[in-house]
Amino acid sequence: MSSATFAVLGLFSDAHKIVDAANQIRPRKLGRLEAYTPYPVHGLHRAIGLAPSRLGRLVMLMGVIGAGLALLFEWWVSAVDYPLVTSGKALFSWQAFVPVMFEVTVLFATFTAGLAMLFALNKLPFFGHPVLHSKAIKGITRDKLALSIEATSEAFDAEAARQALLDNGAESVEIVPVPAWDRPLSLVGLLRTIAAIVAACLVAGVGLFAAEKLIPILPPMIHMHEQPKLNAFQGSAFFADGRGMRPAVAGTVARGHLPPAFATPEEAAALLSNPLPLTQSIAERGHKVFGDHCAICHGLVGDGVPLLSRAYGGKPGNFLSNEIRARPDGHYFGVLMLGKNAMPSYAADLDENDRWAAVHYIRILQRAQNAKDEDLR
Amino acid sequence: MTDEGKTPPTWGSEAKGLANRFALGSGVAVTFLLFGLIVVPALLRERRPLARPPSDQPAAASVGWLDQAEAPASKGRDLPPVDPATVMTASPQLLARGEMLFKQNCSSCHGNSGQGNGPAAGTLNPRPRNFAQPADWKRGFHVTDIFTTISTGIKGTGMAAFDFIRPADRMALVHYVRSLGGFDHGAEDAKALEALANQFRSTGFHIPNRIPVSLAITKLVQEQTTVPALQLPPPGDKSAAAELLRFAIVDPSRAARTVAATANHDDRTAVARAWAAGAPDNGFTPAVAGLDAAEWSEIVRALVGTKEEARQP
Repeated sequence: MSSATFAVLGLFSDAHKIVDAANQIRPRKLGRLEAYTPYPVHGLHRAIGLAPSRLGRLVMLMGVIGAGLALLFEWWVSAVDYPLVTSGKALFSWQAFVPVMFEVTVLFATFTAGLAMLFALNKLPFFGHPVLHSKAIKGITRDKLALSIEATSEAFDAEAARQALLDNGAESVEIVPVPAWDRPLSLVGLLRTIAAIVAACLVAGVGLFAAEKLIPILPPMIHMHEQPKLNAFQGSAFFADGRGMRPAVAGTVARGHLPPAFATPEEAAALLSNPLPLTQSIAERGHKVFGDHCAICHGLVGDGVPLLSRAYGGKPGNFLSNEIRARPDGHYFGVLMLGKNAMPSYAADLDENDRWAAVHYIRILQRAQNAKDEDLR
Repeated sequence: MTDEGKTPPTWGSEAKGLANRFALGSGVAVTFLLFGLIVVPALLRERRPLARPPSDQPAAASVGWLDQAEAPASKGRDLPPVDPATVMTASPQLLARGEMLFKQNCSSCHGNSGQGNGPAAGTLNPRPRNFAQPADWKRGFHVTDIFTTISTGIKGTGMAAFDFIRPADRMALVHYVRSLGGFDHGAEDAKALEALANQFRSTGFHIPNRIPVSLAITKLVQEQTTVPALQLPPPGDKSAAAELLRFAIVDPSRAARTVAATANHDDRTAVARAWAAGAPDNGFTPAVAGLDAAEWSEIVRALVGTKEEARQP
């Protein structure tokens, strides 16, 4: 034989006969049975021994995994990584997670159904089924029913299969060879494919662009181009003051933020004490805050020699001077919050803990530059 | 698959194969060269320590140190007293030094020519002194007055104390500041001048010990006095005082530090105000601001009172 056999096709005209033939041939295990019919034939799938699809179980499994992953992800995001209380509910409020879990379940299930059916179960891509090149295909697409015995191994006996089909009432039998054109991908073919994809993208992009520009956008299809709204800081003639944004009601206090109870750094010095115990981690936090916000003017060691020396006209305070060293912690806190002379307020940039950590770090710098004698040992 | 589709090798396919092998070979060679000549030497250099570890060498050896804050420890020293004759009266050397120091420390507020119009002057209230005019000098413009102002600053204004400048250099500044005003500075107070001269004769200037910041962190963390957290009354205690304490204190350990910092206060209303001002960071709830005087005195008595009892052996 010059070429291997792909399958042996037996043609029938009667649906009952093909079912009977399949039932007879199946126990002989000549090869894998397959049927090609122009219309559904009841009982044929059972006769050729088609097992129930595994797709359902696969979809179920992936759906459950999707739901579990979504729950895990939402728990991690809202209760671990970025715990944010919403409407006073518990951080892990599973009821609120259900819509996302549902969506992810559907996503996993549908993708599994589609992809597993195409690639895992139907073994696609399969370019050009050999039966499509058989002589019998014309009959199959019209009024003939074909039972095919496919080769599953080298030991496939085409003659025995042919005989078995004829014995069981096949009107004619055809041996379908493995097609000869089954060759690997070529460079030219690959380049052609890529060129075709690029060309398709170009055509689609240019076409869409032209359609957007040329086809008039008319109501009601205005594609959200017109929206009556005011952007932030946009002016508006609607209000008397000409501003689009409304100022907060006088006396409004943001939740969790009390206005300072002092008006000057001196008052803060008398009222406040540093509530943070100095630990290694607080010192590191202070180092970071100082390095990010203070050192550019007050210098890396707090000596008031700015890193941006000439670009900035001010003479920043020297934390090492006796006058400033003598000030209580609250004074530094007050200056950080209210600003002093040319120094602006850092209330918006640093929260209370950062400010107190910076105060600790200033004390550390002062100690480093005015060390006790026993520190040298 | 069958063997029928195979064609015998042609000249074109040979050349293509050779070109492929050449491209692959040169790619591998370039990769090896990149790693061998650039990446590996760079990694080796990374492993070499860039800086010496902190040592106890004197500060002079720290010139060019990478991280100013981690410069090696240096012992402080006392600069000897200076001869008053060299600083009490203006000389060209003193004026030149004074001008340099003025540019570094003063001109940002007082302006390059001392007219009180430096770049940072606009942020100050009151405005910086105009040295060119005799009007309104807060302390006066005699030598001793200006020296005092530079040394201690002026309270309630933007004028800071420049006590970190050596006294002799402060005198250079004094003479330079006086040279900026063309007006008659009047007669000096001989007694005050003599006292200042004596000060120069007797005391020098102390340069303090310096240690790396990392060492200062270790020292200060060690010296930190730990304050035990406040013991709140147990939930079973339903007395009004207990309820009040449980309401007022949200963070017993922070509140303990706050109480410890203000325990020496005599005035209980001042203590109450201080505790309310620092809330909630100091361990008290912000809602304490709404408590009335009786409730406050109850809380202060409970907290400071228990502290006093604990002190007694």
